[in-house]
Parts: sequence; C-alpha cells; structure tokens
Amino acid sequence: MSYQILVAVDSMFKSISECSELVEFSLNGKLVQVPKGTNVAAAVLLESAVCRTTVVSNTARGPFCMMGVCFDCLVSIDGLANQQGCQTLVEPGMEVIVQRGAVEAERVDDYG
Amino acid sequence: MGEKCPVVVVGAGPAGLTAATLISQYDVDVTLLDDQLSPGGQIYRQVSDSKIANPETVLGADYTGGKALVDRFLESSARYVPGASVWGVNRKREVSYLRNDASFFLQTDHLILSVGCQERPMPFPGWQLPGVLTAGAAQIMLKSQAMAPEKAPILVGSGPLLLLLAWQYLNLGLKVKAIVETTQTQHYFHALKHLPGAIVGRQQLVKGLKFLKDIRAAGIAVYKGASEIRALGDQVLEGICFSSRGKQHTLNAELVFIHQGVTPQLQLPKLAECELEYLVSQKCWSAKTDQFCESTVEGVHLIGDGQQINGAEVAEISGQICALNVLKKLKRIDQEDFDRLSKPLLVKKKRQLKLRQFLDALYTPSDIFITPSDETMVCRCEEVSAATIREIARGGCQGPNQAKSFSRCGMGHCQGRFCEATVSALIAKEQDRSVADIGFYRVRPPIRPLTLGQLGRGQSDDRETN
Amino acid sequence: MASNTFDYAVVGGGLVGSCIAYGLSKDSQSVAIVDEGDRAFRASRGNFGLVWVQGKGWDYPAYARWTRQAAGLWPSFALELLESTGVDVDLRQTGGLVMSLDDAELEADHRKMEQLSSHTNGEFQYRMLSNSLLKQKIPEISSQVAGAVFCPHDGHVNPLRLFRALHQGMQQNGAEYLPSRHINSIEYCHGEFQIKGDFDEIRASKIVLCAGLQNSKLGEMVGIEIPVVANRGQLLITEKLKHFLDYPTLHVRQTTEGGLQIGDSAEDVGLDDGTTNNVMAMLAARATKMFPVLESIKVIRAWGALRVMTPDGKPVYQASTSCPGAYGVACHSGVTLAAAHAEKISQWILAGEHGDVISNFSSSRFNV
Ligand SMILES: Cc1cc2nc3c(=O)[nH]c(=O)nc-3n(C[C@H](O)[C@H](O)[C@H](O)COP(=O)(O)OP(=O)(O)OC[C@H]3O[C@@H](n4cnc5c(N)ncnc54)[C@H](O)[C@@H]3O)c2cc1C
Ligand SMILES: Cc1cc2nc3c(=O)[nH]c(=O)nc-3n(C[C@H](O)[C@H](O)[C@H](O)COP(=O)(O)OP(=O)(O)OC[C@H]3O[C@@H](n4cnc5c(N)ncnc54)[C@H](O)[C@@H]3O)c2cc1C
Ligand code: FES
Repeated sequence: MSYQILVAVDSMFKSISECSELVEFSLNGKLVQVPKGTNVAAAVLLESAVCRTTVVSNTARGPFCMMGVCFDCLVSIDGLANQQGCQTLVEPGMEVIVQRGAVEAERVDDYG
Repeated sequence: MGEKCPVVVVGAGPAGLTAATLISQYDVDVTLLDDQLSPGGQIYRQVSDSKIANPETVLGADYTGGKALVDRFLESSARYVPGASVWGVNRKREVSYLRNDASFFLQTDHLILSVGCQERPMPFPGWQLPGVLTAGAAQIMLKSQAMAPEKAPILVGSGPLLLLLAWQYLNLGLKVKAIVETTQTQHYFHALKHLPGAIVGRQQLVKGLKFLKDIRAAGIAVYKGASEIRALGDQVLEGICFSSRGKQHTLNAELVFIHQGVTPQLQLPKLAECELEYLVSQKCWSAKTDQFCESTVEGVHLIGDGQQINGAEVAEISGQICALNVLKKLKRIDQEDFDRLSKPLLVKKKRQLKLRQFLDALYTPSDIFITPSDETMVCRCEEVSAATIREIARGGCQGPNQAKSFSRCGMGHCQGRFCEATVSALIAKEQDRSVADIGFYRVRPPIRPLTLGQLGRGQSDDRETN
Repeated sequence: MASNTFDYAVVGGGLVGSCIAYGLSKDSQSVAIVDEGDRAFRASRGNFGLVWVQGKGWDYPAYARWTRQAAGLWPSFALELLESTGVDVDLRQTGGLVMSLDDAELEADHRKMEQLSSHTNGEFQYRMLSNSLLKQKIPEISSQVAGAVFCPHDGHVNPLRLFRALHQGMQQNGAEYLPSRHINSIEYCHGEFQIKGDFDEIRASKIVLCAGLQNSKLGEMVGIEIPVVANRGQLLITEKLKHFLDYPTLHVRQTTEGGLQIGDSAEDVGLDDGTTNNVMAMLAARATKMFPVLESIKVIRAWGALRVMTPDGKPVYQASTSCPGAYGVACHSGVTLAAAHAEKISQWILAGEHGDVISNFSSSRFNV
C-alpha cells in the first residue's frame, strides 16, 4: 500500500476543546497543530482513520480502543517504531509517522 | 527485589481511589500507580481538568460527580504515581512498572489490583478496518481529548455504554446516523425476571429509559435485533451491512462505533496466579475473592470491574470493604470496628448486585459475536481467522494455549486481550464443551511491552523522580 | 478391534511423541496418541527452535554422530511435511553461531570443537571467527563480542509450525489423537498394556512412553528406567522486525515471523515454569550487549519452559525387558532430533531390533 493511500483518507474527528494552547508537531512530514494534552492517536484521527499497515498482511489499521489494550494505534514517534499512540501525549516538535509493516532493527527513518 | 511499600494500589478508577483514600486516612503509607496522567479511571477520565464546555450538560452529572472522589484522593496523603504502566506482578506481590522510559520494581505485603475492564471483543467480518472503533474509544475521545466525530457515526451492538454515548452526542448537537441494536428479543424476556430485584437500582434504570426517550425524540434510526453484521470497505471502512427483522440493510459510513459490554482485565490477577472462575451469567471469566475482596493469593486484593463487572458504584463500595480489610490486617482497626464498618457496606453491595443481574440478562452478548463466522478475523494482531481456530479444534486442540502454539492466535502485541474469549468459545462450540472447561490464556510478562534496554537496566526505586 | 484397542499407544503428544506417532502411523499401524489437555508441562511449546549440532557430544562421540545424522535427515523430512500437510516448517540450515563475550570463553569453546572434530574424524566442521570475521556475517554485532564459533551444520526451524505439522500429519496418517487424558497407571497383562486414568481404559499391544517429565514415573510401571529432571529455560520474544539476522545464534535468533527469540537460562528450580525479573533482565542485557541495535526493540512476552533433562543430557532410548513391547524415549533436543525420531526411532520400534544407535543410548549407561 502506498504512503499516499494512507494519508488520503479524510479527517475522522474534530476538536471541540476549550483549550486554546496549541502544540505543533509533524505528522508524516506535515506540520499539524493540536490542542495541548492531545494524544498521538487522537491527533492522527483528526487527520485520517489510518495509523499504520500491519506486519502480517500489510493492510491498514487505525486506533481502535484508545485505552491501551488493543495495540492497533502503533506509530513511529521520533524514529522509534511501534509506539502506542493513544498512550503518548503529543509534544512540541514531535515527529510522528505512519508505519508500514515490520520495524527495522535500527531506527525507522522515513516513509520511503 | 525492589523498594518495599506497605500498600500498593494499581489503578486510579473509583475502586482504587476509594481504597487508597480510605487506607491513607489511617496514617498508612499507600502508593497508587496508574497509567493515566490524571486520576479517575475509565468512568471519570480527565474529570478534574475537562476540556469540554459544560461537561455536566454534555457528559452528564454522573461524570462530573466523580470530581469529588478524585479531589478527596488528591487531598489525601496517598502517594500518587501517574503515568506508571504496570507490566508485571507475581504471587510474591512484586510489581514491575514502566515510567518515564525506565522500569521500576516495588514489593508489598498488600497489593490491591483495581485495573478495571476492557471492551468485550465483538468480532464480525471487517471489524479490523480503520474507521471501526469501540464505543469506549469514542467516549474516551470525548472525555479526555474533547474530540467528536466529524462524520455522523453508526453505533452497533448493545449495552448501556452505547446508549450513553449516543445521548452525549445528542447533547452536543451532533448527528448519529443510526443505532444498530444487536440485543436479541429473547434477552428482553430473560431480563424481565430480574426486574423486581433491579428496582433498588431504579435510578440507573430511569436514566437508561431517559436516554432511550431522548434518542427516539431526536429521530435517530434504530434497527433492532440486528445480525449478520459486516463492515464494508477495501482498505478503510466504507459502510456496513446487516439484517434486521428479516430485511437486509446496507448503510454508508466512515465511522462505526461498536460495543457489546465489558469484561474484567485479568492479566495482572492471572500473573499473580489468582484463581479465576467462569461466570455463565456474564459469559466471561472473573477472579475469585472472599467477601472482603481478597483473592486466593494471600495479600493480593481485587476490586472493581477488574475483578468482576459490577459497575462504578460497586467498585467504590468494594474499595471501601477492601480498605477496611487491609486496615484490619495492618492492625489499624480492630475486629469490632471492622465488623461494624463493613456490615452496612456488604448489605449495600448485595443490593446493587440485583441491578447487575438484570443488566447481565438484558445485555448478554449475542451468539453471533461469541462464535463468529469462518471468515472473521479472530486474532487482530496475528490475523488468525475463525476458520483456522475451528480447524485446529477439529484436530483435537484442547484449549487456547495449545491453539496459540498451533495458529499464533494471542501471540501478538495485545497478548490475547481481543481474541481470548472468541478462541475459547470457538473451541468449546466445536467440541461441544463448556468454555469453563476449555479455559483461558496463560498470561506472561510483560503485559505491556518494554524495550530490551529498559528491561535490561531494571531499577528499584523511583521516589526521587516524583 | 474395539475402538479403544490399538497396535501402538504413544504416551505424550509433545514433539517426541508426535514424531514417533507420525512415523508409526505412516507404516499403517493403528496408533493412538494419549495426551494431557491444554494446561500441561510441554517443552514442545516453549523451545528455541534450533536444529543444533555444534557442541553436541563433544564428550560422547555416539551422540555427536547421532546429532549429525539427525540434522542430515532434516531437509527431506521438512519437504515431506510440506507435501503431506501443506505446513512449511521454515527449515533454515544456514550454519549457526555461538558467540563469546570474552576470550577465555571463546578458547574453551574452541577446545570442545577440536575434540568434536577429532571424534568424528574431521566430519564435524567448524570455524573460529574473530570479531571482524563475525562482523562480516552479522554487521550489527558489537565490538564487545570476543568472537564466535561458526558451524555449517547448524540451523533452525519454526518449532510451532513443526508441532502443528506433526499433529496434522499423524492424524492424516490415521493415528488417533486422544487428548485430555492424564494417565495414572499402565498395567501389563497377557501381552497387552492397559492404560488407565480418569477416562475409558485404552489398550495396546505396544506402548511408547514420550511423556516428557512424567516419563520416570510411567517408566517404572513398565519396567523401564528413564531418569529425567526438569531444567527451566526462560526466553524473551520481541516485536517483529524486518529480516536482518541471516544466522541463528545460541542466544538470539530471528523467527519466521520476524520476532527475535532471546534465550535462554538454565535453572534447576523443579516444576516451576514461571519467569523471574532478574533472569529476564539478564537475558535482555546480554542481548543488547551482543547487539546494541536492539536497545530500543520491544519485548512482547517472556516465558519459562521446562527442559526434559537426562543425567548426562543425552537422549534415552530404552526397550523394556520385563514388559516386552514397551519403549521409553526422552531427550532434551526434540527439535534437532525430530527427523531422526520420526524415521529411525519409529523404525527401531516397529522392527524391535537393537541397532547400534540404540545401544549407545540405553539407560543402563547410568548404572555403571
Ligand atoms: C472505555 C470505557 C468507558 C467507560 N465509561 C463508563 C461510563 O461512562 N459510565 C459508567 O458507568 N461506566 C463506564 N465504564 C465502565 C467503568 O469502567 C466502570 O464501571 C468503572 O470505571 C470501574 O471502575 P474501576 O475502578 O473498577 O476501574 P477503572 O475506572 O477502569 O480504573 C482502572 C484504572 O487502572 C488503570 N490501569 C489499568 N491497567 C493498568 C496497568 N497495567 N498499569 C497501570 N494502570 C492501569 C486504568 O487506566 C484506569 O485508570 C467504562 C468502561 C470502559 C472500558
Ligand atoms: C527453553 C527450552 C529451549 C529449548 N530449545 C531447544 C532447541 O533449540 N532445539 C532443540 O532441539 N530442543 C530444544 N529444547 C528441547 C525440546 O523442546 C524438547 O526436547 C522437546 O520438546 C521434548 O519433547 P517431549 O515430547 O519429550 O516433551 P513435552 O513437550 O514436555 O511433551 C510431553 C507430553 O507428554 C504429556 N504427558 C505427560 N505426562 C502424561 C501423562 N501422565 N498422561 C498423558 N500425557 C502425559 C504432556 O502433556 C506433554 O504433551 C528446548 C527446551 C526448552 C525448555
Ligand atoms: S488504540 Fe488501542 S492501544 Fe491505542
């Protein structure tokens, strides 16, 4: 599956937060602003339903439980793959990347 | 190994907060570990710093009411360790957890596990597609992230949480495209016989009826007795189809929220080698305790929905009972005080459980999700189908642990949390045995992954990081 | 013939029992495999998957030869399983490595290899690798590793697929799998074995004991001495990684699915197959010391499993003299020896002959 398809999906959720303080981070290389206190999986859902493709069949998955038990929200954060997006707060300057398939023994560097 | 603590509580939901607060009032050093960043558990997630305007009108007074409980805890002398993800315990009551990228160990004589529940798996073809989320996930998005669906969602399944979510969306003026109810007609009849007992919990029943009334008034399409559910879409969710009252329906949808009740998170009790028992009425396993909430392993106490699904009110009552039991063991109260204080709580709990019988009967999970069709992906992590499980069951495989070796089901990141019930039920059905006889996955640490570096560097004390 | 009477009853449905039942049932004998249920001590579910030759029998030439022979039988066996069951056990006999973190350890390994080679008239091959030679095979290796022994005969398989293939294969051959039957007693009566427990009695003309850790107890009932004790190994498995490790090593190997298996401890703790924090930490620390790139790789699960250990670590193949028709098989290398068990050991049982291999592994060796 190409990287294009992964991000071509529409926004799924919208923010109704009262919080005016925003945090900027990069999602698949694009700069995105979200309210402070947003977790990575939620931030992804503001953009798309998809956060990775699976190791077994290379098909798309998105966040499912948001409470840390399904492990479907795995993303690469600051070069470290398989991080649970719903258990990680977005930090300023963070680099989040949708993952494809298995992790590399070294740092996962890009989407190429 | 590790720092010695007098009392350790895991989980800052109503059960754990109540227990920790009460024990700390008797000048006992209590440590409470929780993986979230603020106290409240599932029901009161983020209640002390909600980012929604008018949380009381939107989320309901039940939610905002939890703030008092959270405040009492924060004002208590209990040591609160947020962001602590417990990855292991054992029968010696050693607790391993991950916090700030490092792993720590604690040891205690009194371990109270109050880790709550998770959504019961609801497998149907396509449930793994992006765009299908649990109703609990949608509610967490609302409570802690102040995020609402951009596209009108379809709610599928049964149970109070599904109605609550729909009602909360209505309060926000959001559209819900449809509610596809899978509650089977016969369950309404079964539930009726528990209704008289449930009247004591009538407040909650009345609330449920109000939700229903509001939902009807809003003109949301409700499909009853739905079955043959299937999520459509190639790479992402595009719609769902199902049959309801003899008619086939296909609806477009980009978001579907599913729910069919909750089950206890038993990973930690299993690791501590606590005995479990199968509850036919709830179609799930629960952990055995005595009436004062102590498990079959000495010094390991289990309270709240993480022991057995009884809801938030019982979670609080059990938290109190458990606290008294621990205080008695620590000789902070004598037998007489213990009897005097615990008796009314036991009575109150018993009354509450009557309501539970009614809800259990009404919202018992539908068979179509217990033993799904062959093509359904049972294990989401290793992508194992129901057909594969049936095939190995026909080859004589006796239970989920052997099935794991033969098919890899339950071997992925989630460690079987979302396939255990289905795998056991499929084997049971195929071999005409009971699920109680089939058993459950043995759990191994870490129940939450940690890196080789973190594991290899294991530390013992993180007092200075607080 | 009544449905509960068989030519052969194989006791134990682990790797050893399934291999033998597979071999026996291929010869169109009526075979029953009597096994326990879902929860049981079953080394076959918790092992490391190595088909390992190096080091085996450095002090016992017969075992060195037997292991070499077993590894040599593996390719055709893997093919046979693929063709008959459709299960690819992913055999990869690429050669394997044992790494040492210090020179003394490496030198000790070297001496063992020399001895092995001389025992087998040079048939056993190996190469000593310095750190830089090792890096040519595995670039990710740390410079802290002193060196390694490379043995071209070594390899690995997917042990769980092997387990499933055997269960499927033996049943396809007509063997009957009888699980959830814990055997309490075996009686020998007029040339027939009566197998009893909390189930309908099973009868067989011949019986093969492959009950792992319970073989000692069951062996006594049919006059066979099978001394075995439990030895615990703890292992770790990581998240799945892109393929990077071309060779199995004694401490880390990459599985078919991509996860790394990291092993393993050897602990004398009786019948406790749990895990402990300090051993898990030790395994993790050793793996990252050898492979620094693994520092940020996640552990998904750890487990403990019990090895079926004989006093000298070598297999036991023993026929009963007091109860003719009873055989006992125990070993702690059931993966490595799988092909040999399916072929040679089942032939030995079928023919009842006492070949050379067998006499070398009689349990009478413990009584000298
Ligand atoms: C997603 C979801 C939403 C729910 N919403 C409602 C609702 O709105 N109204 C209602 O009446 N009921 C709701 N329920 C049911 C509800 O959870 C319970 O009735 C109530 O919260 C149970 O309280 P508890 O104290 O037993 O557990 P919980 O409130 O679940 O608290 C358990 C706490 O332990 C933490 N925890 C779990 N595992 C670990 C670990 N390994 N390490 C560290 N911390 C851990 C959790 O994050 C949580 O903070 C919901 C359940 C779920 C799963
Ligand atoms: C940590 C570890 C790593 C290992 N690594 C390797 C490796 O890399 N390479 C290798 O070659 N080998 C390895 N081994 C060894 C290998 O796994 C074993 O040799 C092999 O699995 C033994 O198989 P078994 O059938 O004898 O025993 P088991 O798998 O233990 O099976 C015994 C069977 O007998 C049944 N049983 C027992 N008692 C009764 C009774 N009374 N009634 C009915 N049924 C009964 C049990 O339920 C079980 O199914 C390893 C072992 C361990 C523990
Ligand atoms: S969405 Fe389930 S673990 Fe994050």
